[in-house]
Amino acid sequence: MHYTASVKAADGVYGVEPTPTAKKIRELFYNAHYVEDHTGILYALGFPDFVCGPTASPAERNLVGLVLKVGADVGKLVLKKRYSAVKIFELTSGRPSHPVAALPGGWSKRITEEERKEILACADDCLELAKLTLDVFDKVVLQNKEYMDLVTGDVYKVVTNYIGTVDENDKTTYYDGTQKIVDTKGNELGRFKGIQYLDYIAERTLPWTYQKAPYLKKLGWQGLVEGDGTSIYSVGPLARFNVSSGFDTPLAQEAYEKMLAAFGGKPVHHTLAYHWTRAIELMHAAEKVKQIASDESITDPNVRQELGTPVGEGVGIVEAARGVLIHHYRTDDKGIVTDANLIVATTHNKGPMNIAVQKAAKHFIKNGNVDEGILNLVEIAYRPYDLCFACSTHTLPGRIPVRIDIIDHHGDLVKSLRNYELA
Amino acid sequence: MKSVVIGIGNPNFKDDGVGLKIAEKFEGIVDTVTLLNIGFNLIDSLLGYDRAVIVDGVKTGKEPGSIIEFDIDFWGNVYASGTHNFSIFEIIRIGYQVFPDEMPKEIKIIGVEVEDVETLSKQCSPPVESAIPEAVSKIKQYLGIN
Repeated sequence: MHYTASVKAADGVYGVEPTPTAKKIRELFYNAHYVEDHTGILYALGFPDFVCGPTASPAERNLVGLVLKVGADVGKLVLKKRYSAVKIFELTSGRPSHPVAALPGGWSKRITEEERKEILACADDCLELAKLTLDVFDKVVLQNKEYMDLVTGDVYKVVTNYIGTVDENDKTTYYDGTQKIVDTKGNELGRFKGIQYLDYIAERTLPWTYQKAPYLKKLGWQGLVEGDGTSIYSVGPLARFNVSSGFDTPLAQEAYEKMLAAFGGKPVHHTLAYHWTRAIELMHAAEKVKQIASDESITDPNVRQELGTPVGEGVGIVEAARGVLIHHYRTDDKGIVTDANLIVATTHNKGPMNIAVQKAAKHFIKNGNVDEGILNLVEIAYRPYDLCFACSTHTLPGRIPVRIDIIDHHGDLVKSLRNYELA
Repeated sequence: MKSVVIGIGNPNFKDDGVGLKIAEKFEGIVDTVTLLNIGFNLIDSLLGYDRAVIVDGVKTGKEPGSIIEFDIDFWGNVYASGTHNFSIFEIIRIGYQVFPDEMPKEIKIIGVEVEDVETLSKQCSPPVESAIPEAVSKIKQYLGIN
């Protein structure tokens, strides 16, 4: 995701637009990545809460527990089909992960007709995976009243504004488009592209965290509060659902309308619905892969623009799987970056996530009774945002340490819970 | 036996790149794979091999440069993760659950205790750098390579 935002910013630095073919390949590559990313998030992090149960022990409520519940055959099918998305990634970008094809104004890896046919075959696998995923979600969540009460209840609900990317028909899009803002009632507050983001988004530094807190500039900083009139906003799959008029592909649109009917309108503020929208977007991305790869012109050899002198500034904005991602670079006259600002989805969602955690804690901690289950229930509150702290170290054992301090009304520490052992 | 050495880490964050540096020592000797992060791609890299060595930086509180061998049944720190990161052990377990016939019969996990994984540098810190030959030697011994 960062790779694509970065090359779009680099396009801006050189003042060039990629060739039409390069743009198609980038979009194909990006949608294949969506299929892979949404699959991982749903099956590894979203579904275990439902399939294994939100109060199941952490030892069961994970990938292994999920496979034990749904069966190894389903697990094998998911992983095999998902690999087809990785294969498309490799065919379009040169490597199965960490691609090596982006160039300002283009793309270095052309697609041959033989590769296009291979991508089309892989696209069918992606579509099967998407259908299976919507089916699993339907059987496990939508047909379970207890879970639907959780999804549509008030515990996991945060009322904010939303930002998402739409195309010229107001449909959800990922690689390129216009960023649209709606308020807590769904009324449009504005649209921006590229460097115009500075007119709409401001970042506030808070004394208690190194992470900045973005807010809607025109509404002014009002603190981390939810509700009508708040200036914080959410991004990600649910935000895209809330700002757009649906999808430009038939199966995703059908799934979108089903969700819309279930909630009786928009915007939807129920955070567990992020998982539902994620499953719908998996279908949309798979359909887009098929649609783009069906276009024979994608094998055109003209994949690179001539570069001139850098103009010195570029902004690349994409819809990362977890929300709007902004890369803003300033450079010297050789194109060497002198200043960079990144606003990533987890930063946009800082306010909503903090409120989600606070609401869950207030709801579940009653009469001083706190137990290990609170860790699960709080994780459920922020997990839908698919927050992205993982890339910071990549060291074993690969999990985020969480500590919860329970403070009474005198400010005294009552209890401390954590999901890790001290060394 | 068909073997693979998989290095995991980020080459730009000082000691985080130690797993990649060790894996690179085996290029041309056995199959090697380098991964910048852990996900289902780890399963992709393991399928079809008889034996695998996974090498990564670890932070367990031991002296930097210490070499720690993990059993793949290690489960102590594994919880349903709160974010989109994955545990090596969880991923390997899912691999065995889903692909029992295609996963390696033997997997060894080698960890090198890191000191600094936050500074932007391609050079490991001295104690971690000096642990690389020993880690390579242990892996060669395990794979029966002279």
